[in-house]
Amino acid sequence: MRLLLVEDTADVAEAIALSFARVGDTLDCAFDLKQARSSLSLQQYDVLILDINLPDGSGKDLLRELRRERNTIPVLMLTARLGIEERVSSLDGGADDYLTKPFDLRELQARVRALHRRSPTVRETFIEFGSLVIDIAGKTLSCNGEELTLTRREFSLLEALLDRRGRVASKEHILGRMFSFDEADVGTNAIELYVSRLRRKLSGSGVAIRTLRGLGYQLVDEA
Amino acid sequence: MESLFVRCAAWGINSLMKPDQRASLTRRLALSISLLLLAGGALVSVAALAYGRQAAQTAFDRLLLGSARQIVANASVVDGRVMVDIPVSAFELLALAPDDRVVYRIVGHDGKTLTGYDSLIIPDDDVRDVAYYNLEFNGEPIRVIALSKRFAERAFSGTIQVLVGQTLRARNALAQELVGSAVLVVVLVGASMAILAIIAVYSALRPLYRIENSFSSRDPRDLTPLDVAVPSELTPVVNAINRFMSRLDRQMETTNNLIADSAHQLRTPIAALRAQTELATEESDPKALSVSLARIHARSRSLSRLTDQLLNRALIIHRNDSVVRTRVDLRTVAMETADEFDIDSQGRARELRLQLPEFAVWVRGDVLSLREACKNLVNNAFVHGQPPVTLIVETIGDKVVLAIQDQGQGMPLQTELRAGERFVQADETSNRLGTGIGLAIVQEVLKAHDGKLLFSPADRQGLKVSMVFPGDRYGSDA
Repeated sequence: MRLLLVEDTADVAEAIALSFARVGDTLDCAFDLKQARSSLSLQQYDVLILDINLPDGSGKDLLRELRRERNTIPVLMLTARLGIEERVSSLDGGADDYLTKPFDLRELQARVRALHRRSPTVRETFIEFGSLVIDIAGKTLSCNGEELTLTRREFSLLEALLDRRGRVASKEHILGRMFSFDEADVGTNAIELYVSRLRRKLSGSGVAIRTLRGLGYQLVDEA
Repeated sequence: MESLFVRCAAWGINSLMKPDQRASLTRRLALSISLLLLAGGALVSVAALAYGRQAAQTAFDRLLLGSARQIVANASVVDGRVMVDIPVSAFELLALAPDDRVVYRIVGHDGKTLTGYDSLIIPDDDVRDVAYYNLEFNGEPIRVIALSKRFAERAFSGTIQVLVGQTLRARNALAQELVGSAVLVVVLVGASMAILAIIAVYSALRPLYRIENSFSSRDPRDLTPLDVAVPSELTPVVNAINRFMSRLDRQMETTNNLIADSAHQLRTPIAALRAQTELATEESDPKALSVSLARIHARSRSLSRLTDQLLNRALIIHRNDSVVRTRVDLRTVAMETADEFDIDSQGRARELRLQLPEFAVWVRGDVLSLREACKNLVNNAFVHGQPPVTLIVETIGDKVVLAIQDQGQGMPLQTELRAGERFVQADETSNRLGTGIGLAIVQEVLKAHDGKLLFSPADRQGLKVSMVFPGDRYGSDA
């Protein structure tokens, strides 16, 4: 993994850099927004770790810039602010996850790795969920050893639900995974159609898709 | 003159209807009272003037009538001619006004003057029995009575007219005297009303000065309720001040408690941390060093959790008093809490499950406080119970529930009863994390949301901790 850390507190940055270096990841450090922008323009990173309070501005501004340029790099925000209001605004601003200072380095690593796994470029190859075994690379699904055939769209819906397994996948998240940008005018109604199809195919597997009105869908193992 | 008065009155009334909020009360009252006195005085004066004139007129007209009647009574027909013998007594009454002149004329049936001034002429010839006229005689205004007498005898048949006039000095003097005393009364009454008004204003405002005195003489840190006797009109003001001060008092107390708590709770772990680091810097044995470092790490983690909780508790108490409640879907609270707990500090995925109903479960409250309460309960479940931990949202009757269920051993009854007091830890002899602030936060949030905390055994094993809130009746739509 190649990571960019934007953090102005030198000893915190150093500790984070060392911990990632120990497990074999490459981590570049930027101490302000200016350095961060030049690093981002020169190098392709897998995950961006972004502090909010920086000497030359707010990390949220950089995040907004990136998202405006359709840069989909996974972003983990670091914040030391009191109150979780920050959480809402940073997640709305396009951050994928956040972590409140102080934190443990191992937790940071796990969250970064989770973000990396979720990003479209790198994925787990096999996922087991209940009686289902999903081969992401081979795009196949089997239930108790028996193969189930899914269309391409149904499979990406299943992937979107698996991203948030145990949690709730919002319609926006599913929409983002199932359709590309140029197909963006597909309404959320289309999702309901695919959900009912996938539900039918999964019946009998013990895995169900629950509808949570106003929130999204949840993949649950009812066995 | 009149238009000036009208303009002044218009300005006065206008400033009474739309008073400047900062204008002095005394001035406003003085203005309204003087307007009242001016208008009332003017009215009374006009009335007195009319009445005085009328009274003087009536009195003097009677004298004229009496005098004319005496003259008429002395008229008689002698040898077919009218003879008038004017008695001295006829003018005696009129002579009571020494400065006035009296004129008379007696007109025969043919219109010729029988006796008296020819130049005393009444404007019309109609022959009424009694009539009064205001005329001018030798350049001076006079009041004239015309009295007719009809003779119907064999020797003479016709009407004679007796005119008696008198100048107006005495009657004007009387009218002025009457008006003058009336106006004097008005002025006296007005002055006493003004004095009474000033006294009333002063005594009405005195309670305000008492409040001011009570404030200026009190200790700046004294936030006890005002104890000043005030009239019922001022009671709401004093009540509002007292409510405000009690809120301030609560916040001060909270802050003081927080500072005391923080000092107490933060100093101990910091002392331990310093001692451990000092030891570690002098340690040469790598094994002992790594033990020491592990201890330092554990201490610093519990310290950061403690700081979080202390700050969050202050935040929540502050929000309880200040934040506007909105409709919150408890499912969202559960979801967002779950997002924060998906990975533990060791970087391992946590076994946290979500059991949410299909439709929204509304509660009226502050989403941040609710999430903080939920976080603390989930944290307790992981620290004191056994995973998997399940977050459950459900509706039971008209109550809505956010419950946290774990698979541990449950909670000893004694701790359960005291849970929520500050510094009560799950197991006071154990070394496990737990400051007792977590449940105190939960209790604060529940108190602000009219909620209750219920502990019950979970379905198979473990403990189910439920936050029970009144449902938001207006939010039952999907």
